[in-house]
Amino acid sequence: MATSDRMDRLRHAVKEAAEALAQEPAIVNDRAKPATAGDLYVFTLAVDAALEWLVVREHPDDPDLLLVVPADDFPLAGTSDVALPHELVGRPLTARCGDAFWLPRRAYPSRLRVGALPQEALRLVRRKLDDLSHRQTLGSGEHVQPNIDPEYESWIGLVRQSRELLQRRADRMPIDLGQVIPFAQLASALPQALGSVRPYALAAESGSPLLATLSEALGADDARYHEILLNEGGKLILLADENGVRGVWSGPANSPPPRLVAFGQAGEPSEVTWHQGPEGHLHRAEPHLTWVDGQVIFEIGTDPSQTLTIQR
Amino acid sequence: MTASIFAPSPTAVGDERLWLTNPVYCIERLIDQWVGTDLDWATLPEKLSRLIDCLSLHEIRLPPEAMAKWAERGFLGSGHRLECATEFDYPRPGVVGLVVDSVVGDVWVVPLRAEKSSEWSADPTLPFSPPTVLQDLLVLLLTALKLPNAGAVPERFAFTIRDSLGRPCSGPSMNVAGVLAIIREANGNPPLLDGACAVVQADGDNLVQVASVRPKLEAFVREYGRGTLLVRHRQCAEAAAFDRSFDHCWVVSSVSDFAERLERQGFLRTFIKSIPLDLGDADVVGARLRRLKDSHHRYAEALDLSSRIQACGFRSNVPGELRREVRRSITDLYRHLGYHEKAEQLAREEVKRSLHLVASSYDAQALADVSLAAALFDSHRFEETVGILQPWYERLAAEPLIVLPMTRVMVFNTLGRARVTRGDTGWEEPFRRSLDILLQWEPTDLPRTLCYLAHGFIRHGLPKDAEEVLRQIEEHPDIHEVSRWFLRFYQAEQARRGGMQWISEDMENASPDRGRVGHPFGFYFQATARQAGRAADDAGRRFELASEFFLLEAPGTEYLNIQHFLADCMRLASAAWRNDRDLWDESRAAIAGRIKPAAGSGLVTYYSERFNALGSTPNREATEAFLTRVPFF
Repeated sequence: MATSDRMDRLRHAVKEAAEALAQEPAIVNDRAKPATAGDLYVFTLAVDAALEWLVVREHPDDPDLLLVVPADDFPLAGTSDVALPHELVGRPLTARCGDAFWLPRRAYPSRLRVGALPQEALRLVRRKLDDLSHRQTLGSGEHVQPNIDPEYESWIGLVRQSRELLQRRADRMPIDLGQVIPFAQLASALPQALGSVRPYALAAESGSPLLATLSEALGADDARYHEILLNEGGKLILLADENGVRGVWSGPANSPPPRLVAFGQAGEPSEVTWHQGPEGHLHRAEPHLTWVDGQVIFEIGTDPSQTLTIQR
Repeated sequence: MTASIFAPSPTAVGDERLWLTNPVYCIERLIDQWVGTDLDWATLPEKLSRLIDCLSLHEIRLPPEAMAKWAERGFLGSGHRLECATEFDYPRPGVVGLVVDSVVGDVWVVPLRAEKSSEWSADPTLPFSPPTVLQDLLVLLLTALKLPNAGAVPERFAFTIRDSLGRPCSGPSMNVAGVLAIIREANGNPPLLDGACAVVQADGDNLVQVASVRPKLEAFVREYGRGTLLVRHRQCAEAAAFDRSFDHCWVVSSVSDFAERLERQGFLRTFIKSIPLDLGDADVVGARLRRLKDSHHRYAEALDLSSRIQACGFRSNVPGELRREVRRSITDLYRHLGYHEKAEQLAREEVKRSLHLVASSYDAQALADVSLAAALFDSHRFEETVGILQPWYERLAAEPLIVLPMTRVMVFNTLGRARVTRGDTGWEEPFRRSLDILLQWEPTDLPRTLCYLAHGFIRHGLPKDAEEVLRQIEEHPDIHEVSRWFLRFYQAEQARRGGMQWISEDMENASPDRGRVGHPFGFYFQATARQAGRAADDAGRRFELASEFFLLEAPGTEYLNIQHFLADCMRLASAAWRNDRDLWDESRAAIAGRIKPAAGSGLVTYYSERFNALGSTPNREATEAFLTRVPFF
């Protein structure tokens, strides 16, 4: 299958780390508080690298900018990295200080915070950053000594790619998220426009564990719905599930579906295309919009246009 | 909207085995249903993603190509990222059979699993019927290699073939795949056979393309994206179009091409190791030997196998009876193939053993004597045949219980045949005694003795009696094919002697194919050739065909063979009927060489008078008189 095993493993590792950290009340004392030095975040990035992001300090001239350093458990470390002592962080973790950069505070939603590092660990990172700063390398992405290990070079390449992606996203994402609807507040009942729930024929009679599981998987409706009645006519339905959000439009034959824009991994706005169903009653938006940092931001081309964010 | 009250369900498109083996087929059937209504279509990508995740949890792998196709059509949700496919992304089904459902026209892949076993077997849904067709093909491959494997007995291996799909299928198109599955198992699942299929089937020593090549390979590509090995015919353009979907492609047109390809990979070496047979091996080869000898009458192959078994030897755990069976088989097979000189030599050794071994019996002695007497019959030493068996005949009349019933039958029948040839009075009596035993003991074997009896009546000019016996043979409910072939010969001979023409359609359609028993067809074609009013060309062709059949079983010339003599007789007859002077001279000289005085041959005494009457120019009457003398005709 095209879904790579490596990616699955990485995603799994990030999830496990986040869960483990979330269960440490001494470190994560208040998930709602704004980003603070020492906090660790995990962002959605389509890169084959499982990274956490350590908030190091506020910008001295602009408290809305926070310096962040990528950190990971890749076993090799270069001269601009800090391998944090196990006794301080309880796990392998190396801060890649050569790739530190400034990120606006709004790019750190609290729901993406997975933990925090003790002050002593944070001090080690700051010391390395000061050292690098003295050598005037901060922000250049250049590592002080040649790191000749090709595996290390390859890893640092992924780290840099992630940093650039995150930076671009922060620059391009809308500042105003508009109406924010948490996943839990979406409707669980199938909207009328999509028909009614139908049973799966013979599923219970198959006598086969595989077929029973397949039928169950198809029958499982973990989707949530948000309906928007449009003044121009028709109804926009947003279907959200664990993978993301899809737009479906139901409207009169002579009325086109609305313009719908969503923001992708790199924060780029992208207009969906609408495809008419075989019976002509429904239109389906392509592509399916995956969660980016646990949310999908839409701009709906109504008059006036409206911004809507659905968050997991 | 017009959606059904039921959502399209996995059970509606396939059962569990179909989902396990042909998941892409099943998914596409579901997609076909989903795209029928807006409701199912609108959420199709999400449903498909869930389905694929679920299949993945059950370790059912889908090819990257199928995923890419669904993504391209907008059917795949974002949960499935498509990346560059590597070899690790492809399903590894092993060797796969390809079947077409003749009713609905669907084509499915059938992953084949082979397991080593104590006997050949296959799931009943597979088309390997009997499963030993795969053993035959495997042996054919090894034979085609012509390796020095005198002591190797690849027939020792047996496998069970499992069907993963469970749809009944028939026909020979999967046989090559079946053998590849066996080879994969025997070689520890080499990567080359991780995704292999074949679109050729055996036709004698050739490989020909199977039917429906394109849909079959489309099904393979549908389910697996690409494969590791395609075995296809050299001139099959349909299959060639799929070459790029396979890592390797073996282009073949004969069994030996295929064998060479396998050998280059070292895949056949495991089958030709020369190590003594253990108990399990011996059971498997014993079953094959009996099948070749008693069921298929492929005597040359049976003799070859017996000889290799003996050269290979046995481990100490193999019972003595099996070793004796192999030894007796070799003697019998030399005789069945017409090698009378060698058969006599081996039979005399057996007689000696039966007389001197402590662990002997009357039954063993009688059997050894019958074997020797039969060899002498082929050598035309009828006096000696009778001389050996007459004492047994008399003794068994007084004490029938000293040997087994079937041993008595063998004594009586061999004696009866010699008496028929000698023109003895009372020739019929031994056959009648055999029939009495067989009626009680082994009715299935009645036709063979009835054939001997009919032949006696025919040769003794008793057509009405012959007619009655032939009718009894014809009406026997379980007549074996060899007896049926002999019946046709006797019917043709009966017609010939009555001045009529008669042929049998099934005999006429026979062709001299390697490996099959030939002499009954030789007898039949010579009889029809000699029928009254037969045109010279037709008769000549029939004699030539008879000659081919006589040479079929015994092409080797290392020992004297009565069938070689019969083949020369046919060439002589062809020369006489066609008035071919050169062939006449050539065949006369050949016969002269075969009937010259030699130790152990009774031919010179038996034929010299009629042979000398043949003359120097083609002569039908003299040839007819000579052929009439042949005791087998």
